Amino acid sequence: MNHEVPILLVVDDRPDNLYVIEQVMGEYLPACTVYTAPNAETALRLAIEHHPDGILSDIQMPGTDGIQLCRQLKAHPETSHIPVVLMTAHKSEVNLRVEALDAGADDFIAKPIDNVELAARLKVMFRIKQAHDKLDLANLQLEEKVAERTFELQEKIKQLEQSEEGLRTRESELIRMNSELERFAYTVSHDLKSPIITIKGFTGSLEKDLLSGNYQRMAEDLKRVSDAADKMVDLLRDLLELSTIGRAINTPEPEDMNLLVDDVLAQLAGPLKNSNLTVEVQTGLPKVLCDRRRMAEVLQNLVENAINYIGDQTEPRIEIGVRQEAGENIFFVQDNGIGIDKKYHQLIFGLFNKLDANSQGTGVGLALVKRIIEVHGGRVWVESEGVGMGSRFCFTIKEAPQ
Amino acid sequence: MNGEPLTILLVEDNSDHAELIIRNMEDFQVANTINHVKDGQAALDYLYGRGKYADRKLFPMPHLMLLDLRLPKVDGLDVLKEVKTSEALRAVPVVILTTSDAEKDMAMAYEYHANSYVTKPVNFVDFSRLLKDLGFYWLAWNSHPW
Repeated sequence: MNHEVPILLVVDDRPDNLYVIEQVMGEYLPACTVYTAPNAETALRLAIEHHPDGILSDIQMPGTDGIQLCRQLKAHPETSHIPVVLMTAHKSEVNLRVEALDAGADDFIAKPIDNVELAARLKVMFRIKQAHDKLDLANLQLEEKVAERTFELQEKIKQLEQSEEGLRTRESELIRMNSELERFAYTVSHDLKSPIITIKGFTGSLEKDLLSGNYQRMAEDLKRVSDAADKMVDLLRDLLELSTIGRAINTPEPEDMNLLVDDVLAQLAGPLKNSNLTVEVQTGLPKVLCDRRRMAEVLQNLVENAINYIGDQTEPRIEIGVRQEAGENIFFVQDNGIGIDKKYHQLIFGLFNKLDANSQGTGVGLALVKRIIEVHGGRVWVESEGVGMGSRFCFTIKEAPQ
Repeated sequence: MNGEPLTILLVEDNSDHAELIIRNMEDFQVANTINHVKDGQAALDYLYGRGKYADRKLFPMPHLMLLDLRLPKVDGLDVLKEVKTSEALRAVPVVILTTSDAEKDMAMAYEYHANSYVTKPVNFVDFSRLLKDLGFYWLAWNSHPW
C-alpha cells in the first residue's frame, strides 16, 4: 500500500477526459503512476489489483455511476481505505453532493476542471493518504509488537509458574530431607552416646569393685562393656551402609532369585545353625530386575530379622517364597517367631525404631530394606496376626523381562 | 524422713543403664524399693495399677519417677503428658533422666510440666553423684503427698 511513487486511478467513460487528466498528471505530478478505467467494473478490479493511493472518478457514467462505484469501493475491505475524489459537472447540485458524501467520497472537484487545482488537490490527497498509510503501518507494527510481547510475557509467566512449581516441590523435598537429617543426627547422637554411658558406667563400677575386692560380678560387667562396644560398631557399620544407599542404585540387571537366596543363606549359615533354624526355599522363583548387592542386603536383613525374633520356638522355621496377587509377584520371608502386634506394622520400618530396646538390632535394618526396595520401585510390608503368631515380610520387585 | 517405705519407679528401656542406676541407688540406700519397667506402656499400667501391677502393696505409688524419653511402645514424653494431665497422677514427681541434650526435648519436657530434666552424665563419677543427689533430694528432702 505504501508505494514509493503514488498511484492514481482515473475513472471516466470518456477517453478524451482520461487523456486530458493523464496530460495534467504528466505535467504537474510526473512522479505518479496513473491507471485509467473506462467504467466502474474495471475501476473496481484495478483498485483491488493495484491498491492505488487515490481514485479520481467521474460521477456521470453509463451503467454504474461514480457514486455507486464510490459506495462499492468503500464497502470492499481491500479498497475501503482509498480516498475517492469525485468530479462533478453540476456545481450547484447540493443533493448530489450530499449523496456522494453519504457514499463515502472524500472530496469533489468541479468541472470544468482547473488543472492546477486538480494537481494541488491530488497532492493533498496523496499526502493525507501517505500519512494514513504510515499510521496504519505503525498501528500494525504496534499491534504485532504488542502481540509478540504478550506472547513473550505469557511464555515468561508459564516459565515462572513452572519454576515456582519446581521450587515448591524442591522446597518440600528439602524440608522432608532436613527433618530426616535432624532426626538422624538426633538419633545417632543418642544411640552412640547410650553405649558410651554403659561403657563408662561399668568400667567405673569395675574400678570400684576391683578396689574393694568384689570380684563376683566383674565378668558380667565386662561383658556389658564389650557388648556396648559391639553395639557401637554395629551401629556405625549400619549407618555407613545407609549413607551409601542414598537415592541411587546400580542399573538393575536380571537376577535369579533362587541363586541370590542361596548365596545369602550360605553367608548366614553360622547364625542359622546356632539357632537351629530350618529354612525352606520355594524352587523356581521368578527372575527379577535388581541391583544384586542391594537385593542380597534386603534378603540378608529379613533373614537376620527372622533369626533375631524367632523367640523360644521349639521348631524354628523360615520359609522364603513367592505368591501371586493381582498379577503381581509378592516375595516373602516368613518365620514362626514372636510376631508383631498390628499397631507396630508401620513403625518398624522407621529409621532407628525398635520395639525392644534390648534386642540385637540397631534399628536400621528394616529402614534399609524399605529404602532399597523403594529405590527399586517396589513396596515392602509385614503381615503378622500378632504377638506369638510369626511374621511374614513381603515385598514386590520388578520381574525381569523374559 | 519418717521411716515410711520409699519407692522409685524407674522407666528405662536400656537394661545396662537401668542396672547402673539401680546399682548406684542401692549403694546409697536412698530408696527401699526401685521398681523398673522397660517401656512407656508398662509405666502407665504401673501408675494406674492395671493388669499385673494391680497390687498396690507390691507396686505402690512412687515417690519419684525417673523417666527416660525415648521409649518403646509409648514414648517418654507421652507418658509424661499423661501423668501430668491426670488428676490422680500429677503429684508424682517426674524427673526426666535421658541421654538426650536436645533443646527440643528439654523444652517439650518442661512444657508438659516435668519436675526436673537431667541429662545422664557420661562420666561414671558424675553419674553416681547425680543419682545420689537426686535420690536424697527427692526422697529425703522433698515432701510428698502420700
